[in-house]
Amino acid sequence: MNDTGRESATISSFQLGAVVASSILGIGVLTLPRLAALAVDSGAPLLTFAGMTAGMLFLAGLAWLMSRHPGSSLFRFSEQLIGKAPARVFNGLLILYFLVVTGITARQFGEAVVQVLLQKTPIEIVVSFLILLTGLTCRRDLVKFVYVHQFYLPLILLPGIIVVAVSMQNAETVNLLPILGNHPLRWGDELVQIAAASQIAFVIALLGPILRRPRGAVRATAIGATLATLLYTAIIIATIAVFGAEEVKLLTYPTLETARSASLGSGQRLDALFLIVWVISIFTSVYSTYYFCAYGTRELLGLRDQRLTATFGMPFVFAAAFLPLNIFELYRWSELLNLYGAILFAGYPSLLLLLSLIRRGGKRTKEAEGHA
Amino acid sequence: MAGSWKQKYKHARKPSSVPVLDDVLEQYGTMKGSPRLDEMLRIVKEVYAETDDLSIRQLRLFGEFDAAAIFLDTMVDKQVINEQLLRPLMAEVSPARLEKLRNRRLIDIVLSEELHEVNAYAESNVVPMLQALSSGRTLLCIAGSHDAIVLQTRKVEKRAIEQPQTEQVIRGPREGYIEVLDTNLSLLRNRLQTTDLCIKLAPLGQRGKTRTAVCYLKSIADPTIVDNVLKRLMHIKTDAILDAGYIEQFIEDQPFSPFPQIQNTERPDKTAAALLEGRVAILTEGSPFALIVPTFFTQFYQTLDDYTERFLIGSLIRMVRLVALVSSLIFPALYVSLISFNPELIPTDFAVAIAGGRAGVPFPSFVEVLIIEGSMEVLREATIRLPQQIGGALSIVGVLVIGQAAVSAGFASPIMIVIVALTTIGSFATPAYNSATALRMLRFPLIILGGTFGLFGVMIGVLFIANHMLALESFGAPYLSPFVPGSWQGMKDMFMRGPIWWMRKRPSHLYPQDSDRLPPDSARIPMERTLHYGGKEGADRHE
Repeated sequence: MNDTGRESATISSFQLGAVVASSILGIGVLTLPRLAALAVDSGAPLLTFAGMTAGMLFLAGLAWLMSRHPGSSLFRFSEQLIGKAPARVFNGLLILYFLVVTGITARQFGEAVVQVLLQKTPIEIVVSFLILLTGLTCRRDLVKFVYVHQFYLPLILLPGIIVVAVSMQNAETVNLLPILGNHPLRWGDELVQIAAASQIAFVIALLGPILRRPRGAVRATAIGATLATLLYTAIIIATIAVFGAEEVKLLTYPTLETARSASLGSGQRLDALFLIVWVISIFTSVYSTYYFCAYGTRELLGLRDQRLTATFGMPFVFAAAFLPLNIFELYRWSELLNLYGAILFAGYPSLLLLLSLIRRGGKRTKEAEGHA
Repeated sequence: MAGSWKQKYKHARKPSSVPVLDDVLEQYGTMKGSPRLDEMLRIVKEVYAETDDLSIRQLRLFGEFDAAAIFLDTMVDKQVINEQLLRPLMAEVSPARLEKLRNRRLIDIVLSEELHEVNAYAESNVVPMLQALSSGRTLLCIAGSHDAIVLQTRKVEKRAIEQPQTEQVIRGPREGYIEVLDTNLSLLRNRLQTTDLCIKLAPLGQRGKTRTAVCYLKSIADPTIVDNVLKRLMHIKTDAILDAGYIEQFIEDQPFSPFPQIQNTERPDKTAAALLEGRVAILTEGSPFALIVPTFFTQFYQTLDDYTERFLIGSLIRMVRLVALVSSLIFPALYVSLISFNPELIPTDFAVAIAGGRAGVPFPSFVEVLIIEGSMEVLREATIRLPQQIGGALSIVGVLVIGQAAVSAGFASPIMIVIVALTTIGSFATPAYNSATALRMLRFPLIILGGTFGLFGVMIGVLFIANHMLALESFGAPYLSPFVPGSWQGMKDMFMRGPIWWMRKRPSHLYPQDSDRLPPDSARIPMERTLHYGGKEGADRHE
């Protein structure tokens, strides 16, 4: 009874940007400050900004690729560019990677919740709640996927801005110096770790068929990624400014401690409240990665919709979440995933883009003109 | 009449296996009326054999021709039959006139020259004649003619037009729909006196043949939506439509959702406003409610008062209502999870006060909330059904029992009573009863989640609800529009109520054919600021 082929079946550039921003803003809110501080001390804000900007460049590349192949998703045009079999192998790898990332993110969040909110609840319950919520929401079509991101974006940005604003009362500028950090030469590896936060926004590769203006894709993606970059950088500036880099290294969840240090006067703590509000940002990230898995598997298997794959993928995500045995292994897993993921996410679209440029000689197709 | 557009959607109908009472008529098929009067009377008597209120009045037209007036005694206005039918037709006529009557088709002359009743036509087939009888029309059969004259003589008792009980306003029109479709349509037409207003009538229901009207503005409403509505109505196969609520349940998008996806209203002004936005209204005989599709969630907390009052006041009141709406959903769940899991979020002094109040309560806060909320629901339901005099007494008893005695008896804490009172009052501040009830009911799963998983559980629950609402659609329009998918123009009428001269566009997700509500340049009358009154400028200002 739905009317397809109408304007409601396509998404605007604004919505595309919202998907990018709300996908990127996720577990990094909790983990990035410590990661960056461990790497470069007080250079953390700059590192974050640089890393996120690097990630943004690759996202922009992906968006450019999409605008060159309007009307088709990654799964379609990759097959056209490098042939069916190799494309399927790469796409399968992407799906597998995102499946593990979904699990690991859910687990990281579960650890935070169990530590701060529900000390007596088994982590399995917390993780399975999040996975259930995500899995059931993944059964809808692409437009609904975009709606979810658009709806939650303000609810993600607002608490972030509030934390930054209220923590500024305890900030000390001296903590931010030197801006370049103490080991300016050891930047390469960490840059990749930070840039990995942008990987989740790779989900926009699915949105090709429903873009109203494929030409605006690069700009919209860049704006969305900039929003995420700015918020992340602001959060890290706030955290480092409040505690100083050395202290941040000792804290598991520095952002939460920042929220804890801010109170409304009469002694109550607000960290739990912020963790709760951040459930939303974790949810949208996990939703993006898992939607990619469900939708991708559906495309690979040639199914009519992703209800089946979304439902039956949930146990696998759950299993992936408990691959690491403890929280230390969890973070090692996360770092390794970021590293190998970077190869996949930087290499694969670059390869496709290169082929696309060669095969079409840098010109837009007629189809592209028609869409624009 | 109604047949033309029904033909168009015939393909949408599926064959039904349910036997239909009116199949009795099918044996007559496309049979033409008989010129023999006794034959016609035989057919009528055969079909209405077991019906005692069938009346047949035999008469002699102009003292010359045999005829019979057939009608159902209980449904007709006998005065109309006497005055409009019998009096002119039984009058003596001059011989010259009689001669003329003999030479030409009698039925044409009767219809065009003698009958003083607008609603009359000639009918040649037997089946429509018989059906017309059961809808309160009178049949005039004349010997020697294949056709019969059908006269509208229906008389239905109706109540006066009153202010709607469920949608009262402080400032605004006081009239509401009643149970008679024709009256309701006239109320609507009176507000939209334009050729644009289309009203499509068709009987719905195999046995009831309930007249149902689909109304829309031709130059605004999206034809796809109108098509969709007509198509879905055609799918309805049921005995009779006893209320608009029946139609709603047959045509809504997601029957399993707790949220209503179709708005209902008792107010013609609200219907007219909806039509002007490009929506479609469905009215049905016997129901004082109009259904309005497509529906956005925002419509459930907007009221007419928002628009009739100045925009600042309207916006503020709407904000209050929104706070009430949200609190009616999550307040008790928040209370439970804060008390049981995260007391550190409560300011210390207040936490001590709460703990003091809860000192004597034997249950965990979770059970306490469920008991009190449950009894509040019982009380609310009981009060609705009772006559007003007893209802007042009951609510006093209820307030005393729930409020004072429960605290004294030691199974509820005072703060609990405050929470429940806020929630209940909050849900009554939502103007639409059906959506308020949806939120009231959803608060119970949230309380359970809050009791078991604290704030985390509440948040997951709220996300579930929000995700569900994001997936809902009403006739192809997204339920959370204009917030998602975003429309800046629409957001002027979402949390706040923008000035009327500022809301230039109709809601874009209804795909109106004509999207401009106001001319693109400022629609507000330009006002010159005159500093001194009484001069020429002052007079100009008033023009």
